[in-house]
Amino acid sequence: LIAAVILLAPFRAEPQATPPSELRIDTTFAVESDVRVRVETASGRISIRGWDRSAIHIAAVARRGTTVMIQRGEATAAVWGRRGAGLFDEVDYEMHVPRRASLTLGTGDVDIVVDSIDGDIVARNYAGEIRMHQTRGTLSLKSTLGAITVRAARGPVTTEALQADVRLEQVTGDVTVRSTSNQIYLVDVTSNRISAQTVGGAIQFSGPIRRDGTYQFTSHQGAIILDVVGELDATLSVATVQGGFSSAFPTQMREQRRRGVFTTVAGTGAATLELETFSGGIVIRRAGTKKEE
Amino acid sequence: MTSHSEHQNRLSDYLDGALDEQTRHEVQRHIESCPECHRALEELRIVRDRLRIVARTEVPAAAELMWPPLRRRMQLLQARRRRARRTIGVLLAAGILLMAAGLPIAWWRGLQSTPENPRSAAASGLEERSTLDAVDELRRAVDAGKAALDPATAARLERSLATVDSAIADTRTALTNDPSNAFLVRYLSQLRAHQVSALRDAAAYVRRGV
Repeated sequence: LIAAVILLAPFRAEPQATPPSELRIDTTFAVESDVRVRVETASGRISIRGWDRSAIHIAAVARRGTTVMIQRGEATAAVWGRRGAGLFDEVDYEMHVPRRASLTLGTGDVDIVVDSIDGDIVARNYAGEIRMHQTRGTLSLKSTLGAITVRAARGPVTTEALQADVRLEQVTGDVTVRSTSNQIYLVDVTSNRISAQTVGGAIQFSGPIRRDGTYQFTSHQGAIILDVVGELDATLSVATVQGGFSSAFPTQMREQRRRGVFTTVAGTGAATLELETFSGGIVIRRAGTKKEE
Repeated sequence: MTSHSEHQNRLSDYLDGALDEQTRHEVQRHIESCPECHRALEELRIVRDRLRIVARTEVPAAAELMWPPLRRRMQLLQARRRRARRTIGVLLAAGILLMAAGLPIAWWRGLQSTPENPRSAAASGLEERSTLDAVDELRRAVDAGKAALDPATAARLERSLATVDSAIADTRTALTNDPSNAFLVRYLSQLRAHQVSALRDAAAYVRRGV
C-alpha cells in the first residue's frame, strides 16, 4: 500500500493556492526531456519557451480567485485553472519546458505564444492570437476569432482560422491552411504539399514550386498571388468564374474545358498546381520582380 | 449471358468496388456500350459523393463542442446517411424505372434549380438536403446564443458567416447559369463543408459565451 501511494504521488493534482483576487506562483520541477505538457485556461495568456533543461518552470499569475492546478509526472504534466462553478478561470502563464516537449494548449480567450520547441504542438483558442516561433514538430493550430502566425518552423503545419489572418513565414514542411473570411500569407514557404483555402480573403504565397510538389490554392473573392522562387515546372489547373489569370512564366495551353476553366503547362509541367478563385485574379510572378507596395 | 437489368443492379456494387474481377469487367464493358447505364452510374456517383461530403463534415471530435440537441441532430443525420446508403440500390432502380417510363430527369433537375427553390441548386440531392438541415440547425444555435455575446464579437462572427453565405449564393447563381460546370459543382460542395465547419466553430464559441 505504501509503495502504491509513493507511485501515485507525483501524479496527484496539487492545488497551489486559493487566492481571493490575484496570486503569483513560481515553481520548477523535473521531467523527462520529451515530456507531454498540457496547459489550459479559459482566459489569459500562455507563453512557453523551450530550454535545455529536463525540467518545467511555471510562473503564473492567477486572477479573480482562480486556483492553479498542476498535475505532474515524469512523462506528462498538466496545468489548468479552477474557479467556481460556471466561472471562467483567468491565468497568465510564463513557462519553460524541455525543448523536445510536445504541447497541447488552449482553449479559451487566450493568447498562445510558443518559442523554440521541437515537439508536436496542438493549440486551440476562441479568441486571442496564436503565435509560433522556431518550432520543429507538427503544428496543429486553430482559432475562432484570433490571428495565427508561424515563423521559422520546420515540420507539417495545419492551421484553421474563422475570422482573422493566417501568416506563415520561413516555414519548411507540408502546409494546410484554412481561413473563412481573411487573408492567408505564406511567405518564404518551402513545401512539397500546400493546401490553402479562404473564402473572403486573398492568398499570397512566396517560395519555390518543387517539381514533385502538389499545391492547391482556393479563394472565393480574393486574389491568389504566387511569387515563385526559381523556375516554374508545373501543370496548372486553373478555374475561375469572374476572375482573370496571368503568369510571368511562359505557359502553354493544354486543355480548355470552358471559359475560365483550363489546364496550362509551365516548363516541364512536373509539379501539380491547382488554382481556383470565383471572382479574384490569379497572378503568378517571378519572386523578386514584384513592385514594392 | 447477363441481361441489361442485371447489369443495372450491379452498378452500385461496381461503384463500391465490391465486384469480383470478371464481373467488374463485364459490367464495365456493358457501361461503355450502354448510355442508359452510363448515365445511371454518373447519377449514382453524384449521390455517393454527396454522402462522402457529409461524412467528411461530421468530425466526431467536434461533437463534444455542440449543444446536446445539435449533437442528437447530427447523430440523426448520420443515421439517415447510413439508411440512404442502404437505399441507394432502391433509388437507382426507381430512377431507372422513371427513365424507362419516359419521365425526363431534366424536369427534376430544372425544378431543383429554379430560383423559387434556392435551397435546391443544381448540385442538390438527398444528402445535400441533409447538410442543409444541419446548416439550418447550427445557424439557429448561433443566432440563439449570439445575444449573450458582446456586440462587437457578435458582429465579427456574423461577418464571417455572411462571407460564406455570400460565396454560396454567388456559386448557386453561377451554377444556375451554367449547370454542367463541374468545377462549380465541386466548388459548391467545398463551400458547404466550409460553412458547416465555420458554423460549428461559431456554435461552440457561442455556447461557451453563454
